[in-house]
Amino acid sequence: MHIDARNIENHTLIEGDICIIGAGAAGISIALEWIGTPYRVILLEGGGFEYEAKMQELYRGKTTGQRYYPLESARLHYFGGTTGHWAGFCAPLDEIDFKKRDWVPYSGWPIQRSELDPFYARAQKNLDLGSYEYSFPYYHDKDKSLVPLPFDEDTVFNKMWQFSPPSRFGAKYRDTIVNASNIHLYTYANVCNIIANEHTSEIKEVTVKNFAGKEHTVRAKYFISACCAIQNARLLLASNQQAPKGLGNDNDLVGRFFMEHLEIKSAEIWFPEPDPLKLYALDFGKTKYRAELGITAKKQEEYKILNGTASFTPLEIARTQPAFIDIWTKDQKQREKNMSNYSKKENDFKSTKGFSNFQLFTRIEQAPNPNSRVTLDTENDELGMPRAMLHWELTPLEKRSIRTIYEIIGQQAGISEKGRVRLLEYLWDENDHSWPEFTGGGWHHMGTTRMGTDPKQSVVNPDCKVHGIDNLYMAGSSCYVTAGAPNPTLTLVALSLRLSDHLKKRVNG
Amino acid sequence: MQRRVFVKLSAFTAAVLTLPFVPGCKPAAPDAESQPVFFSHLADAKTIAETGKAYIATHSDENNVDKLKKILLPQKGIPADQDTISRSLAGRIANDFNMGNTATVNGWVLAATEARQCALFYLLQL
Repeated sequence: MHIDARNIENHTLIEGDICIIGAGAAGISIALEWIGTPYRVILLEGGGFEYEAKMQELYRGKTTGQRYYPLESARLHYFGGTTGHWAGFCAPLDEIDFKKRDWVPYSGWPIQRSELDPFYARAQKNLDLGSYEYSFPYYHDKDKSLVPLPFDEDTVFNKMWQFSPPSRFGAKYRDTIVNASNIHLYTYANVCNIIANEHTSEIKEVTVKNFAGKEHTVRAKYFISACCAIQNARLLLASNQQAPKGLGNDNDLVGRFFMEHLEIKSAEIWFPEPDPLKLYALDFGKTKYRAELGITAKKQEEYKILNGTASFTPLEIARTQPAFIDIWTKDQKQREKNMSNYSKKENDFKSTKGFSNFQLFTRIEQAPNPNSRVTLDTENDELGMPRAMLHWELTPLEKRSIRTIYEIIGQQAGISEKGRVRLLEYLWDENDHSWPEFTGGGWHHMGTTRMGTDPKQSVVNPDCKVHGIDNLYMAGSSCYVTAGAPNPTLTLVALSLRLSDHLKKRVNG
Repeated sequence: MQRRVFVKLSAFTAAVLTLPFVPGCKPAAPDAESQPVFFSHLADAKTIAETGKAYIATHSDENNVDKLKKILLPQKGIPADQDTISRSLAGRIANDFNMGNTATVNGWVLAATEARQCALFYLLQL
C-alpha cells in the first residue's frame, strides 16, 4: 500500500506495529520479510520514487578533514535509496574482519562471521547474486581458464567478488511493496525527530515532515532507523528533546567512528609478457564474478596491517581515468556523464593477448577512529532539521597497510618470476603520512552507530538495538564495527535480515 | 617510461650482451653483475640507472664500484666466468625474494641483489 504523505490531512496520526525509517537496501529488505504477516508495517521514505534535487539538498552538509565527495551526491534520497546508482560489487566480510585485532584499535565485533553466514546466503537473493559461494576453487572448477597469479596461497589469496546486475531496489521491489496489504509505504515522509518517553527508555513516536508543509506523527511498537550511516547518526543526534546529547548518545559515541573504504590507485605491476588476467578482469554489466588479490589473515597479523584488496586495470586505460574524487560532482547530469565515460574506458579491458602492465587499485578498510565523525551543524535544512557535518579522518595505519600490501605482492611477483611491482610515489616515503589529492572513498558510509556489548564503547547491541532504549533499532552499515575490504551492501542486507528475524521472535513473544 | 629499450636478455645471454643506453650515458660495462636481467625486461636503461642512483642515495656506504662488485660476485669478489656470475645472481635474487630481502627503490619492489645491480649499473655510467 502506498500513501503520499503530502496528500493526507495535516497532523495525521499513523499507527503500526513496526516503523521502518528509510526505504533503501536495508529498509526494503526488512519490509519484504514482513509481507503477509499479521503485523502492520509502516515504511517511511523521505523522497518519492524518482530523483529530485530538492530531496538531495536535504543531505547537503559540510565536510572537513580528508577531502570528500559532496554529501548530497553520495546518497540517493528516494525509494530504493543508493541502490539507484550502486555498481553491484558484492563480497562478504572475511572472518578476520570480525575478530579483535590488537594492531587495529577499536576492532572486534560482538558477532562472528559464522553467525552472519545464513543471512549472507539469504541476502544473495535480494541482490540477484548467484549461490553463496566465494571461494576461488569453486569458480576455478567451473572455468579452468580462470588462471590465478602464481602466488603463495598462504600469503596472497584470490578474494572472489560477485556482481549484482546491479539490482535497483526502487524498480525491483516497488510493486511488491506497494501491493503488500500490510506494508504501508509513505513517501515524502521525512523523519525529523524521534520522540522518546521521559526516561528515554522507549520511543513513543516519530515526527515526519515534507515540503508540502505537512507534519504527521507515527506511532509503533518498534522503530528501525535504516537511513544510512550519516543520516542514522544525524537523526539520533537531532532527536534531543528528551536526551540533550541525542538519543543513544549518553557516552558521546553516536556519529563517531565514521568509516569509509579507501579506494585509491596505489601501484603498478609489470610483466615481461602480456597476460589477459581473465580471472581479475571486469567488464561492467557482464562480469558475474572476478577475483582481487587479498592478503591472508595470517600475513595481516604478521605485518599488522588492515584488510584490503588489489584490483587490476590495464595501465594504458588506467592512466586515462581521472580519480573518482575529481569527477564525482554535485551536478547529477555531469556526474553521470563523467561516470559513463569512466566505465566505457574500463570496458576496453578486452585484449585477447592481454597487457604487460596494470595499475593496482586498492580497496581497504580504514581503522576505526573516534575522531572521524558525523556531528550536527548549526544550520538547518529546509525542513528545520540540523544538517549533518562530516569530519573524515584517516590514520597512519591505513597508509602503512597499503604500502605493505604492495610490498607483499611485489615480493610474490618476484618469487614467482611473474613480474615486478612499482609503488606509486605517494607511498615511497614511509615517514610521510599525508595523502595525495586523488585519495577517495567508495561512497561507503559505516560505523556511526557501532555494535558492541558495552554501552560505553558502542551505540547498539549485537541485535542492533540502541543501548538503553527498548524499542529502537539501527539497520545498515552504521552498525559496522570495522569495515573490511568489501563494499558494504551485501553485509548490510545480511545484517538487516538478521535484525528482522530477531524482531519477529520478539514480536511473536 | 619506455619498455623494452633494452634488448631481451636471458640469464645466459646477459653475460655477453652490452646493455643499450640512453643518449648521454656511457656504454654499460658488459659485466653480468651490473645487469639486472629480469628487471631489464621491464625497464629501460634510464629507469635502471635512476633506480640505481636512488639506491645509492639511501645506501651511501655502497657508493663504490669495487665494493658493490665484491658484494655481487659469487666468491668474495674473486672474478668468475660470466655464466657462473649470472647463475649465482639469479639464485641470489630468487633467494632474496624468498627470504624477504627486498628493497623498495623509487617504488620498485626489487630483490636486494638486483637493486645493487642497478646501483652498479648507475655507477658504471658515470
